[in-house]
Amino acid sequence: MSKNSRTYRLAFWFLRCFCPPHLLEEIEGDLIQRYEHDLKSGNYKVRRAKRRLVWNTIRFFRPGIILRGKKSRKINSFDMFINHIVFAWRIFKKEKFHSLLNVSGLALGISVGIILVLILRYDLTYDQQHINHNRIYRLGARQQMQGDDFHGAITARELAPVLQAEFSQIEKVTRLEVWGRTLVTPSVSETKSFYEEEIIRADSTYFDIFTHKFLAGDKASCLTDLNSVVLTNSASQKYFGTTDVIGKTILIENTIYSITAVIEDVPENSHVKFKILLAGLPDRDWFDTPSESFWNPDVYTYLLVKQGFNPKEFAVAFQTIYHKYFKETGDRIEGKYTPILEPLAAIHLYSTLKADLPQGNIMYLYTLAGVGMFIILLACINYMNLATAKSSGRSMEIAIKKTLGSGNKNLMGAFFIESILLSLISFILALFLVAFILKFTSFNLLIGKNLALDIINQPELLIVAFGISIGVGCLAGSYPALVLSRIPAMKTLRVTQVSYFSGTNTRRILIGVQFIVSIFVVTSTLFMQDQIDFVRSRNLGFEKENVLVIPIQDTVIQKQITPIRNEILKNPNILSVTTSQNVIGMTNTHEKWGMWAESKEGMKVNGFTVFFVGENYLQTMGIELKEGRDFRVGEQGDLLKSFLANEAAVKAMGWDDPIGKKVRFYQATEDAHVIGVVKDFNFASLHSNVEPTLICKIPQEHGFLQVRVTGNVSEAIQSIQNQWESIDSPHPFEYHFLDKRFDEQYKSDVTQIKLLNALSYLCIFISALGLIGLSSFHALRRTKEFGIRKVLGARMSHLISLLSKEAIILMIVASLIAAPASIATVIWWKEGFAFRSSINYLTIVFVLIGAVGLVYSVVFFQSYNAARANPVDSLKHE
Amino acid sequence: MAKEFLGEFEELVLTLVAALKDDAYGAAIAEEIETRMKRDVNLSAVHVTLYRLEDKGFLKSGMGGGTNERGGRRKRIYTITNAGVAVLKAMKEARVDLWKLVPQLKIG
Repeated sequence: MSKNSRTYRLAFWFLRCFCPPHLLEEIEGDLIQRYEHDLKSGNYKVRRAKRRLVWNTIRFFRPGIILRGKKSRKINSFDMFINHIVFAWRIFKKEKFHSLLNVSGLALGISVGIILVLILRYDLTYDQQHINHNRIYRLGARQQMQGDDFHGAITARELAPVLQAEFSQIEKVTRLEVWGRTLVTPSVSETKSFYEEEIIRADSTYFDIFTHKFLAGDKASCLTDLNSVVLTNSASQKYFGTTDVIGKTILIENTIYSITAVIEDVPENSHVKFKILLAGLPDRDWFDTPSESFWNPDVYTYLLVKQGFNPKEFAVAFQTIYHKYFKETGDRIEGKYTPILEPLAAIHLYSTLKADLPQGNIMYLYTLAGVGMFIILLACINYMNLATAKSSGRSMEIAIKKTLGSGNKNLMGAFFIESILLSLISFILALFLVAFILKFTSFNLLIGKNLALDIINQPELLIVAFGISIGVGCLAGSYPALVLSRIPAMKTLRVTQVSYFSGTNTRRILIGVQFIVSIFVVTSTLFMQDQIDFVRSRNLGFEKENVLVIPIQDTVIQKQITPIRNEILKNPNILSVTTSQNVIGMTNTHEKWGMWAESKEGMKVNGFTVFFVGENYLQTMGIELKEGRDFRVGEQGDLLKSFLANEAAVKAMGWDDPIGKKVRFYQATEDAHVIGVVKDFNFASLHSNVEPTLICKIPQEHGFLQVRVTGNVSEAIQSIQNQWESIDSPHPFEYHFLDKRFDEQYKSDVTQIKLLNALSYLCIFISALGLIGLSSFHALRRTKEFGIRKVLGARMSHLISLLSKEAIILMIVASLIAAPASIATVIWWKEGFAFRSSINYLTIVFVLIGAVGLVYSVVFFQSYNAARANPVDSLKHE
Repeated sequence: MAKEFLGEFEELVLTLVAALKDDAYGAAIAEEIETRMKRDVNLSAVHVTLYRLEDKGFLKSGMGGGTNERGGRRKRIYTITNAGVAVLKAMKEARVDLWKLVPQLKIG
């Protein structure tokens, strides 16, 4: 026996792992007996007998043994489970009104949850389609000099080749140049042209770094030739109606390119979006010294680094680059240059650099997620409140169940099943609701994304959504399950009067939370709306209304500006005409010119925003001249030699008497002078302050024609269009209004507020649902009491105020808590604006009045019947 | 309640429990099947069948005494219940009835 003990131990250890303990002894005994029997019979040698023992043991690993948890399985928990579901379904059908309230609340909550998941998934996976995304960095820089501190996403195009040559840790480098609207003609013979918004130009290394799927053409060689172009699928469909376009030519602006590859459309969640990719970046040759070019960033630079690359080491090693290439100009302008590396996938949400492509905002996501959670919480609270409030009606049921032997755990399970059943019904509703919202409403337009509930292609979405609803069901069911299962059975059965669950305080707190959240969201939204209204209506220092902006497309038209001007001025609806290279509200405010300017310590380089303008600029834009004079009309020597400065520039330079101060372009040899000072005007959004600015009149007017119109605007536009088309036939006539374009800068703010607005309506709606449910229940419960009160002489208004008093007090307390919180939040939010409206405290009062009114009317409608009923009837009520 | 049916192996085990009287337990039944029926039998199958028959109410069981042969482990001794005897009888009679229907061998 002892020599066999090791085999036994092993076999029995295995047996004990799965075998129910009460069967262990007999099975072990039988196994031993059989083994001994095998040995004794002489049919088996020791080793074979041992093997048979082990094999016999293993064969006990079967359902008939493993699942035999008890000797008898008379109690079937599955049957009980089915019973719970049946029960829950009956409760659902019995309380139709409350079930409806609950389901609609939960469905809204779950829909919000699903949409949130979609948004988060979209934003958090930005740029991750590139296989090497965690080895790709974008190189930006902080450039500091007197008057300018520029954190930019761009770098000089001369820098990339230098980095490639000097750093062994860098595997590949590519540069991107993003083009604005460009005229594209499918082929030379074609007369029809399109404006294409998304064109980029990149080095031939582009496809070594970024991952794109090729539909046609060769990845390695498609960008080697300077005149080659890569189209995306949709661009190729748009221009040629097919993807079989390799070798065809396309006219972009005035250059002919030949198509070398077609790739799949760039995923929407990429921060670089393009339809057309041109090959090769030409060199720049207009700088006096090579070192000067390094200080003039113009392209996006992306680095593919090797494994083990350390950004900190890069920053240190960059010093050698600086000394070699930047230092000469850097010393001259007293500048400082610090490289900034951003991981590719972090750019969309976390980059704060200027001169960047459109990006997301992590705070915005947090806000959305936060409000979304609030809404889910509100929906759950609704359920908790209704469920516990109704406990008085169900205490008898619970007591009977307990008497029949149901434990607390069992009861809790039953209540969870009830809430999960509701949440699953809501889940189905929510799926339809979400699909509807995404498909048939302007929601996608509003958030600027293209979300869809594509369950067929992304089945994991369904699982996530299902998970959300189960989670919501559990959250909503947790409190009722805990409370209701504790209702004492004996007391309920003995006391004939229906005992009333005493958790009113908890319920008050829960309603209070709902009120706080709703008021917080509503007041915050209103405050934000205030700020946006303020920003839009603020005097900007120029007149943004009634100005038409028309792009001047090419040099042919540039040369004819004066005749065009004279011609369109004949129309009485046109007041004045000017041109400028950059348009207010469209100006890239990050673009600063390093200029020599007179200061107390002599001429120093300082950063200024510079407007290059044509005739009558101040008059047309309505910018006010503070001192000095405007440019003279005609070519009388003001060209390039005279500057107008704004107040911010005067202040920045510390000029006491600005007129006549010397200013000159970095490369200029001759001094120019300040001839006048204009009042500050906000050429950029009110998120930023007015920067020191110079206005300069240039000989060859170009850029944008700007026309101040009055009276019959459409007639004025028509007359300009006629003029225009007679001169510039190849380009379609285009214009926009200055104020519209200016206000587009607040598009993302407006979007946020619209979304928050929608969410705050949801908050109100869900809270109201909860209130309706509770107050109808309360009214019903107090029918008899009301009858007695009426007999004793109470009037209806008394009764209703009796019911609504509690909710109204709660509402007032809730506003006392929510108002300061929302004020603090909004003050924090407004820090993103350089110009802020003051907080209108009246808003809170209005919200409070509205809220109290809403509470009162909800209670009124719900208790109207109970309060109106004839005491004779209500006293019969049981 | 629907009439209980027994599988072939179940019937075999049930019959052996009845036959072995006070000495009916897993290993003994397995050995008995092997020696009498000359067929290889899986010990775990015997156990599971015994449990199932007990669930159906044809057997009852109790722990018997331990012997040295089994490393001191006690046996679970099975005895057939009245229901078990009834079902065995019923099955046997049904079979005999059926057997009577089979044409007997005739010579000539």
